[in-house]
Amino acid sequence: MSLATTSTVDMSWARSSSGYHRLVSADPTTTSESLDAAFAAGHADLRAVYDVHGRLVYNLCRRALDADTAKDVTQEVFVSAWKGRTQFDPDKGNLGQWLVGITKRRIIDHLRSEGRHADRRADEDSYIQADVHSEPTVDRLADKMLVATALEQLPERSRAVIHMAYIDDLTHQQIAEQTGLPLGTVKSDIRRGLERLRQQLEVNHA
Amino acid sequence: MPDDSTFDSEFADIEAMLRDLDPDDLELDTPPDDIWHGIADELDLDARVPAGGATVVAAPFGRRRSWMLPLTAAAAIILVIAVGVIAATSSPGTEVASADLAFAPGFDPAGEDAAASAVLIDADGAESIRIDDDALPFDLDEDASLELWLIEADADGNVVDLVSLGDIEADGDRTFPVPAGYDPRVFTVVDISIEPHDGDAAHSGRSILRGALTA
Repeated sequence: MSLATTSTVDMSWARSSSGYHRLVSADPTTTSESLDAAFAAGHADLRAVYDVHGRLVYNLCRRALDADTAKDVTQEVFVSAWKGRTQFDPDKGNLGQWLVGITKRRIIDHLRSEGRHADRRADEDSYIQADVHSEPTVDRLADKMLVATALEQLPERSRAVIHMAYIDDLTHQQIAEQTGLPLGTVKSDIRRGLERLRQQLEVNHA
Repeated sequence: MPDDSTFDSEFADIEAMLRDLDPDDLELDTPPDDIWHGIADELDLDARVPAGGATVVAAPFGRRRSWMLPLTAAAAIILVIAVGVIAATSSPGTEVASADLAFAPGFDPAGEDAAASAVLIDADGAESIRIDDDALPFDLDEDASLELWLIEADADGNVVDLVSLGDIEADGDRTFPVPAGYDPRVFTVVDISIEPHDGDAAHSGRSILRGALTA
């Protein structure tokens, strides 16, 4: 391999150039930092955006809608996101969150539409309020899917200990006993995982 | 809640979100393939500009920077040949070019024992890079990822421009779509680098493997 030699490599070549820093911090996945910036600049390949975020959008739809409607709404979300991509402002959140915002609106629209068809005599507002998929419920589903997809992106061990700590509700000591890892390692794995999740989700914290 | 199972208020919000998860929430389905076909149909994405004649849109962050990561003259000659050969043999759904990626002096020492090859796949104009047979240093001693790049080099082997194809995960997919507007016949050099999670999306300059695509 002769593509570079010690004498000619300038290791400062990219980092020092201006304008190549990302515009927003990380997405629900670790692969999409530059994707956000490219999308904002109008250069991203939609397939790349779909590969990164399709799972998030589809699973959110699937939890609120039947299988066929979930597919339709997922398709609508990406089509409208692509057509409206100039409206994406990375200063206001990452691409995953922007897509989730579109998805939530589409889901609510469909549920309202279904509600009207399901019972034309019912008062629309009372139907919406009574529905299990009311707006706050869709918000909560969206948060869960953002966290679930971010969790999938963590390294295996980090994901496992976070699962044990927060979904299985085990203490750090119990996790250490079950995994055979030293207690200090369990704590640092969890902390590192939390840091990465927070970075990916851009959750505001006090 | 036992004292040792929670962290400072620093993580209170993310911890609350995690505790709200049920095991069912983590059983995520892969979207059916026909969703993407529906999107592509509706947006007419299949009618792509034929590969090789692609209009290279301006790079997201401006082109023609004076970054200098010179390649050797020999490599530059290989690149010129490769561009011609790839352009001549391109056909849909096939492996049109490949590169053996190798460590070189001046690269990050973490790549000394690394190995991988890259294949350029063209499926009806939808191009992707697949990383094969990789032995990569995923167990880094720092909070960092391995990232895949395509680099455009000029006739002298200087870096003209580059684009990230995404992170390579230990157990992740090894196929990376080539972003629209980046022609692998121009961006012929495949590069894998170590990218610390430091909030800087630019190439760290810490390459571990690199190679030029040839047919």
